[in-house]
Amino acid sequence: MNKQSEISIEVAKKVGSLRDFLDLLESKGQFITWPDEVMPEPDIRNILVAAGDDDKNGPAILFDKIKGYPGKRMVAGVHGSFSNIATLLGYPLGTPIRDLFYDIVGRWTTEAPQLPRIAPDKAPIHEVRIEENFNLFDLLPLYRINAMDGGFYIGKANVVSRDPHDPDNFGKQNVGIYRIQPHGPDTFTLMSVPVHDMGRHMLAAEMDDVPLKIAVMLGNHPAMAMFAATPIGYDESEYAYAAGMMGAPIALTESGNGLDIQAEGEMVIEAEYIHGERQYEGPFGEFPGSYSGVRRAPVFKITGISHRKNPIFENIYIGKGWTEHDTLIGLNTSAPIYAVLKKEFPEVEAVNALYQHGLTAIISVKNRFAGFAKSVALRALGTPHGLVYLKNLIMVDADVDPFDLNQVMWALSVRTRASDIQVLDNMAGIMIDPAAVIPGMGHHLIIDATTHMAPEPIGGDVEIVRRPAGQEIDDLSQIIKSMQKEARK
Amino acid sequence: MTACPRCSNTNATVFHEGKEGEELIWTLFGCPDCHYHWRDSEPEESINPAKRKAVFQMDTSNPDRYHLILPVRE
Ligand SMILES: [Zn+2]
Repeated sequence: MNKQSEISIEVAKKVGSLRDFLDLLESKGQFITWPDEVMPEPDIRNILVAAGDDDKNGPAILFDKIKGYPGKRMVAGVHGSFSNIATLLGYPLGTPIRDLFYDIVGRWTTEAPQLPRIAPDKAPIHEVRIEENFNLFDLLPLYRINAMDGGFYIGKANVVSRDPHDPDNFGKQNVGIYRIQPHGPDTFTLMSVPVHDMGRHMLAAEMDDVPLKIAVMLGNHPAMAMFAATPIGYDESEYAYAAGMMGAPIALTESGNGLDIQAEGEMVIEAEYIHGERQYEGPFGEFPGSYSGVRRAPVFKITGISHRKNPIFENIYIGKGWTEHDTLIGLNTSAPIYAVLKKEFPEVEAVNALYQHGLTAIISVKNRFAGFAKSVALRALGTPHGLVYLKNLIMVDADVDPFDLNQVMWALSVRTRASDIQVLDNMAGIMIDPAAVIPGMGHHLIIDATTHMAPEPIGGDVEIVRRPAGQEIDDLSQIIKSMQKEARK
Repeated sequence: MTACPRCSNTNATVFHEGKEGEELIWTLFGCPDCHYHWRDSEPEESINPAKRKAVFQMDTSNPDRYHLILPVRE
């Protein structure tokens, strides 16, 4: 059951598209239009890095005076801060990350998703139709995200493809976020490896020599951007999942090449996979904060484009953190790990996998007996995401909020011994960890920072100060803040 | 004939010109060999071969040194 609140459903009903969400953000002071002319490089990059530094309250920023792209609009930072995420979920600005985490965990459902269909000739996304003379470099205000990127990347597209062996199966239609590098006026590469659903579709199409048509959606519903990156089952629909998570409709229509797309998106680029063709792709500044190098990647050719009038090109800043990418995927990386663990270990309290897609994560757990937290850690390493991503894992007690790093550091300071640190070497790892000796391999490190309990030896002076907490303390902090405000006048 | 800042081949062509009214603001080039794209208005660290870090330069005469993302069917 979706346990979301009435208020959040009311908010979600108002947000049917990116434009609706920008209006909502603007009403909260979380959306600004950059007033000055900017050069595509380095101005956009610099402004987005500065905005990303404020992971709590940074705004979405619209650029409509990009030199050399008159009349074009670009927005980034839409998911760039936890206050923006809170707004989407129907919470006040400044809501603690832990509360947002529990909200997302409570919404975990695909029950009764609302996916109304709009006829293509009535769908806003098809307002303007282009069938020839495509030029991505003219159509979109493209720019180099990081200085040594190999091209002008599209970093926040939702890409739709169907299983070539089961093209009528709605669930097996995949929507994923893959980085896209425009190559020619009407060609681009798409970075997908065989383990991705999209990669499976490409290999299957090539094997049986059948066409693979895709739809690249830009300027998407803010829930799609968040949830298309969430690992769900191969035969589960990302649309159903996102609409279910929002508890409100996401309208669908059909693209010119027959795929289900968002009716109120900003733009759809329809393309066909060129069998057997690979072209140089990269480097690209990725989420570990390092460049993934040049590879040879699959190529697609554009067959049609639709967009709304005066479309907004939504992109993302990604690179050395903190960036929008971290905020966008952080909670949706944490929640599935929690969901798996909670089923088998109800003692698990919360999972914070916000850091570099979970390369470092913190799990809080009620320790049942000595060594228990280590077993929970090992189970976390066996989750689909944990297998390769959970590189450094810190286990803390239930009295430590894993989203409050001051508390986590306290636990590391006073609840660890040499015997609490375990390293599993030569395990699977991610390909693009710049610390990896062999790409794709690495260590898992477990630091058990939970309280020692019998039959472990207990040290001296082990009694912990009971720190006063609760409503009384919260009220007092408010009083102190307002007194301080007075004093500053 | 424009030289690519990354692979130094000279086959690059103009992909787009950014204008404000009649005024040319920048020219966007693309290299058909290494598929680098650049604007002539970018900072030098991206487009000046002398200022670009050597590790980011490319040699297109040996494609096999670049990892293949999806295996190609024989
Ligand atoms: Zn080149």
